Amino acid sequence: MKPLLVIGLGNPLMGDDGVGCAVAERLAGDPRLPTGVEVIAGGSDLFRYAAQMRGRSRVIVIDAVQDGAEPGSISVLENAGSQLDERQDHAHHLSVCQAIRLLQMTMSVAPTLLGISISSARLELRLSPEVDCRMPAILDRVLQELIWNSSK
Amino acid sequence: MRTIAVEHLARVEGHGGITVELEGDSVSNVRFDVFEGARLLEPLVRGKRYDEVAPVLSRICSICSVAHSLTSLKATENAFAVRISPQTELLRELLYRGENIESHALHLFLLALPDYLNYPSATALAADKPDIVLLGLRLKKLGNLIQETIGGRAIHPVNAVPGGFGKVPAVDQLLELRSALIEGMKYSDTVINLVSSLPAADFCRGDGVYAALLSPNLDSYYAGDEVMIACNGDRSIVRAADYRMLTNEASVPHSHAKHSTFRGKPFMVGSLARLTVKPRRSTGRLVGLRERLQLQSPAGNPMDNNKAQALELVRDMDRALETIEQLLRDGVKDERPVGVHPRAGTGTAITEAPRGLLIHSYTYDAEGRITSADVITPTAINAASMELDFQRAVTQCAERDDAVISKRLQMIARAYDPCISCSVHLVRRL
Amino acid sequence: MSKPTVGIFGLTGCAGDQLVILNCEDRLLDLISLVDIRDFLMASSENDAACPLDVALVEGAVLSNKDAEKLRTIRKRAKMLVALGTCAVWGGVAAMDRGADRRKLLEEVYGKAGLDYDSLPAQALHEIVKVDLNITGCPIEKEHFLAAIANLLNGDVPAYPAYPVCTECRMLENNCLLIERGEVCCGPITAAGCKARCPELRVPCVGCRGPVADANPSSFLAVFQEKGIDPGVIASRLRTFAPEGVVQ
Repeated sequence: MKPLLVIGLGNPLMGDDGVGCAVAERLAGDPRLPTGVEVIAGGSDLFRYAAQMRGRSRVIVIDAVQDGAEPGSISVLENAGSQLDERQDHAHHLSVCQAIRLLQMTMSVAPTLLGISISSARLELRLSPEVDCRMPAILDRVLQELIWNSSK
Repeated sequence: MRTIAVEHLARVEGHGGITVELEGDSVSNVRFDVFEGARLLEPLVRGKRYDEVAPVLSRICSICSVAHSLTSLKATENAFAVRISPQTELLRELLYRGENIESHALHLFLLALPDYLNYPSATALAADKPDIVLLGLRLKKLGNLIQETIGGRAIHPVNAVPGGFGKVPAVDQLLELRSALIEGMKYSDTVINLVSSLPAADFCRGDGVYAALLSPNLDSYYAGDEVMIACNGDRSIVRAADYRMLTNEASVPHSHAKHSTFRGKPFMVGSLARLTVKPRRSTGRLVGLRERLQLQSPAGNPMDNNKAQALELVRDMDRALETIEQLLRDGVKDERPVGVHPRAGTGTAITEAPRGLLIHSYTYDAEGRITSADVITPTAINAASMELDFQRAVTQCAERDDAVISKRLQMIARAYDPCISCSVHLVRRL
Repeated sequence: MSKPTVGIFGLTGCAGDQLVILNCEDRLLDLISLVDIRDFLMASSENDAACPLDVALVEGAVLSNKDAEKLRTIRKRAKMLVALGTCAVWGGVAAMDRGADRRKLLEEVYGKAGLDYDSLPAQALHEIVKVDLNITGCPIEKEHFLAAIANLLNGDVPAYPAYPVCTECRMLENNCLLIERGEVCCGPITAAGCKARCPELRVPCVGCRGPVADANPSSFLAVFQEKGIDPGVIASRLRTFAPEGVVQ
């Protein structure tokens, strides 16, 4: 089994839409990252990483979500493929949700989606202050998932 | 909208209250309110020299002053890479056992037990059943004797200093403790029988998440620098230096208080957590205690914390005796504290106070003056878990009687054994 | 004759002095047969929050308007008000730096919402109401508390030592940590009553019982200057339990 993979998705040119990437970048340099975890700061297309996802013990995808929750709050979805279309507008509406569904059908991997709520995505190069100040808490949450996983 | 409020929680340490708001049958808001004034000891201690820090921060709380004091010393010693002697470590272990015995005896017999037997206070209970209260007082006294002998004083242990102890106890003092413990242990069975015969308190159930110190020494409260978290059958480990990962600021719509969560779920610390996270096979006198107390398995009832305290109370008398016998076997050495050489740096220490995980993290400058202090107490950690359990109790209560619900909420609050003076960070924003 | 009515209260503190009362253990049951404890939130859930009291014992310092209001209410109810412990008598550790920018500290610890908290620099009880008796200590000595009750029951008032810790320390034939070892020991200016517990354990006195009546801080400072110890260190030590300006 290949080690755990974390993929952060998003478009860094569109403000908070790029939060998944921002998290992945910080995670890669974090001393608390458990050994053997691979981190990719990706773009907006999850499908591009299909080959890397094969044969993993677990895959965690981090992406922005527009679900009305307070910006910066975190939701974890284990069965994202079947849940998302019904109730949530994804920032990467079609690509992530369809990608996860397709991946579940074609490969044995079922990625966990860690959604970070944002209120809007605007053309700018940085995260909004309301999301940026939540970054330490978001990193903590992601690391907890990784630590939980590495003990299994 | 209906509100159930306990304005001033009685028979707990410090000033707190509970508020539950209901819309119809569902709980819309739950709060554990803390009214304790902000003493701001952490920022105020800035600039003090390292040898002044523990005496100030031990005053965060009187009941767990040993835990605050020794955790403070451990943090300072970590920052300066000080290695204490094996004898000092044994004496600190003994001090923790004494504190736990005293705290659990106080909590169980004087604060919590009256609820189970339907008395408003220990004094009312004492009028009817003096033997029970006297037993509690006797065990409390035993715990205090250990703390006085090793720590120099029962509240705010002055004898513990950076690097060791001011004066190591004499052999005859240890022999006195030994006799007192052997006397106390004659009541172990009575404690277990009493607690196992209490009426069941089964009004709050849920999946429990628990966290406790992972110590290399059996069930030690002092040694170790990792925290283990248990969620159903799964276990995870977080290092002491990464403690902020657990005490993060979770986004909670109705409140901005710092909430401790693991993977989105609040977790409980304290006796029940310690027994759940790393259950050990008991030996000798301690075999069968869990079964006799009928601790629920898998764990998930906060009221079981009272039973867990009873188990620890009995077990700690055994452990304290073992430690004393080891000290006597090894021969007590009249050691002075080891040399402490301050340097710039950060030190984090985690130990188990009677109520659960206690964290002190300090940063010092090159002259040994403290530049920042962070103290996370078990009651602050437990706040989120308490609120979840309040919610469960209300939702699971079949009767609509507010008096019944209110009593259950109070019993749950007391089962957590909150120490509100300690909760320096936990203040509600209303 | 009916038993005297007693109330035991805590403002903001560590509850150590109330704990000392509970630490009376076996003598506690004797105590409750001699007095009628009507209001003691830490120990009972049935309290009379309005009845008049013969004696009110109050620990902790005043850290908020709420504390001050509570104290004034207690003062109105009680014939005699006893300040219990160094926080109540002197302000205690919470009063370490009354000159600090409190708003800044509140914001640092609690964020922006901290600025709305009801929070004042710590004050001793006598800075708000009239106090009839002081029992100092951090925490108080158990024997002082029991002596106070015994005296009050007999219509008398207890007397506590008016000399410094050094007196008790020398009587125990200890070597002086200050003179002979050059350690920062606050014995000379600290109120005795603890039997020099800390120096007896070779630990310098931190002054937790507050200043002795005729303390001479300037002379004390001069001694340390002679020994070449940084006055900042002494100043920090002196301020820890009893700030300047809290005159009895």
